[in-house]
Amino acid sequence: MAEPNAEFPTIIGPDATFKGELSFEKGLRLQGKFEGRINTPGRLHIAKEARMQADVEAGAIIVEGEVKGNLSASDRVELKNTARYEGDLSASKLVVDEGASLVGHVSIGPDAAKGSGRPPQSPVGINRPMPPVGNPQPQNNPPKNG
Amino acid sequence: MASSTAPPPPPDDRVTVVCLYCNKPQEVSRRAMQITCRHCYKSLKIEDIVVKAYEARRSIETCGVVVVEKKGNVVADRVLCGGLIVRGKVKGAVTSRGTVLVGPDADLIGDVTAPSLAVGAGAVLNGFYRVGESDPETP
Repeated sequence: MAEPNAEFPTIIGPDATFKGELSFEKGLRLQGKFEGRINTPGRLHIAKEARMQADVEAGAIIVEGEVKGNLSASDRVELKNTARYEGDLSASKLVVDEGASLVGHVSIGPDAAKGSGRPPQSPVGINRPMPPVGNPQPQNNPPKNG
Repeated sequence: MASSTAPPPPPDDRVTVVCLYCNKPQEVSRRAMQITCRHCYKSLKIEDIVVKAYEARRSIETCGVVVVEKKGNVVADRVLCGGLIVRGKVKGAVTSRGTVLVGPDADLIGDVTAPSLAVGAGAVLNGFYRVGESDPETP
């Protein structure tokens, strides 16, 4: 079994099940089951044998197991080859290994990271909204005298 | 008298392509640029498409690879391809039979269905992604 280290001082072991809200500073390695919500500026590692159904806001997220829920990372999300992910994802960087599975809305880029926590927007320009109907407002420019 | 029919090309001169529409494989000559699917009779482009400038199209369909170079900007309702390499900008729904590669500082805006995805740092993605599942659905 993995020992706590400097990178991941907190470990939820393979025989543990956690339900609720969790926050931590540095890093967490999840090897068991998690259901709820995670909020951290640090790193979250979801191991191969882990199962998670949660909304996560973190600095960096590494997925090797099965995840359902919305992930939002200020830095990066890594989906390893064993990852099975279903949900909405927003981060400034995304790494997808060959063999990983991903289904959901994806919003990647520096702007996506700024707006982390919000649901990703629909693709720009694909379903462009119609311009407002009606007469354009007249400009109130007072007539110049002289 | 000699027969006028040319002998069939050697096996190493043939390549297997999967029809974009009926998903059925068939062997074609490596030099072919366009064929008619022998199962669904639809016309299939085999050649790769390289986009180096702005191009707005209703759809881009090829069994080959679509390459959008750095100065390329594709706006299409639908991109159906054997593989996609984006170094510039793509706006549209992409269904790829092969890997989608999004280079650094490239933009890919629209829904994507592909068996695998590689994203460079600084790339901008936005849309509904279906990556790594079974074969892309026939449109």
